[in-house]
Amino acid sequence: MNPALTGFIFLLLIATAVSACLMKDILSSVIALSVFGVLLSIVFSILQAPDVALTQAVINSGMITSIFLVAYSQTMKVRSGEDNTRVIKTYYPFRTDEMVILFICIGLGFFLWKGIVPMGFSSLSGDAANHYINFAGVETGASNIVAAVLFDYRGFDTLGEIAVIFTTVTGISILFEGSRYHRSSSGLSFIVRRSMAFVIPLIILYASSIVLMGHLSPGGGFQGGTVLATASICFCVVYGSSFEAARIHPWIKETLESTGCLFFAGLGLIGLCTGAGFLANGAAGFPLGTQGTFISGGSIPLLNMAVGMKVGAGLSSLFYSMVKILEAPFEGIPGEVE
Amino acid sequence: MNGPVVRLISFSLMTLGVFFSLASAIGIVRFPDVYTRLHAGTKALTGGALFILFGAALQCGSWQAAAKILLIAGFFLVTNPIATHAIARACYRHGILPEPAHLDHYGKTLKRRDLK
Repeated sequence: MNPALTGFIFLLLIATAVSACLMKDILSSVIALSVFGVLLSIVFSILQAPDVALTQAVINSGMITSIFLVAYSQTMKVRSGEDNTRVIKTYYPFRTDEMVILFICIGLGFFLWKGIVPMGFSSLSGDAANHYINFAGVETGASNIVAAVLFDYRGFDTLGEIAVIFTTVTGISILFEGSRYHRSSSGLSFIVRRSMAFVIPLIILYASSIVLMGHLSPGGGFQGGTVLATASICFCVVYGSSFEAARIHPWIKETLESTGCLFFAGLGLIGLCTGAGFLANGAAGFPLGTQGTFISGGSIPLLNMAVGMKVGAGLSSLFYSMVKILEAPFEGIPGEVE
Repeated sequence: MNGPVVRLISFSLMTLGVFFSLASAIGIVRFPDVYTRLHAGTKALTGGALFILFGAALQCGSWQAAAKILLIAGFFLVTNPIATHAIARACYRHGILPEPAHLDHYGKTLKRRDLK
């Protein structure tokens, strides 16, 4: 890749990060963060990490932005009873405590840099990395080495990640459960609703292809699940959260989420039952198939599906539980010009 | 499918697209209010992106890749205008009016709905 282009994108990355920190308006700051996420995903795809680039593109520019915007509107609405004008504090760009934080950040970055340099940038170091590169195809049957590492060699860590998401969703759902405002806006205008009806099936198709092809091409359960949750967010925003709740009941989402978790743990237990160890793949008797075909990789596609169910249902129920309070009556006049 | 004529057409399409995108960026910076900026941001940007994508579709070797790029173009053609439409509508409902507007059908309809 052209080094001038890479350098330019890195400069833009630093510029958006600094501007996201220094902007006085939270909304502009969130949008700068979203731009930062898009640039970061471009950097990841330049560095030939398409899995991470996909995650970054969906999560940082889609999910995080929408969740931040919802949180922002929630906090604004709590204050809207007493004072609706935006308070702009007198703000000095560099106070002493911020200088201390800046110093700590620069120091940490320096030591990270010093830690990376002796490892080398292009050469692989360590036996584990070389083993994965050389034997992942043979041992797991998956073409995507990242999926092989994520769901076979390091399956237990992935179970931990799932547990983290499960805890987050549970916590936020409990936090927003007792809200009294169960109102929903009627969504956006007729034009947007009709057009999104063309787009949303494509989004769902894309999400399921990412999940099902996770062992062959970049992507997998986490990425596909997040794209699926994006479709649910589109439902909430474009058609109103009551439409979303009517089509996909929150109870169904909870069931899907728990089922995904149980499915993952159950697949791990199969390995334990056959005596090969928790979350074992080939050794537990899963047929590995031929590498590169759709049915290959043993338990990896099944684990991908479990994670996709879990992440998609979890994130969409998280967004729904946050957005259902937001949609208060002041949102606007419902309906649209015929 | 990499003859010189095809490449020439492809590069001229891409150049046209870059011109439109540049015009869109300049318009977003230079135009006075929200609605004119949205105008620059949607029409010129959609046209620019479509031309660039058509150029890229001509460049790539297989028809599968070309179909993929055309699918992206269709996606862009649907999403960008409706996003702009939603922003403009939200702006109007938020109370930002286009200053020198003489005709305001949407406002009239909204008022009629309020009276009902």
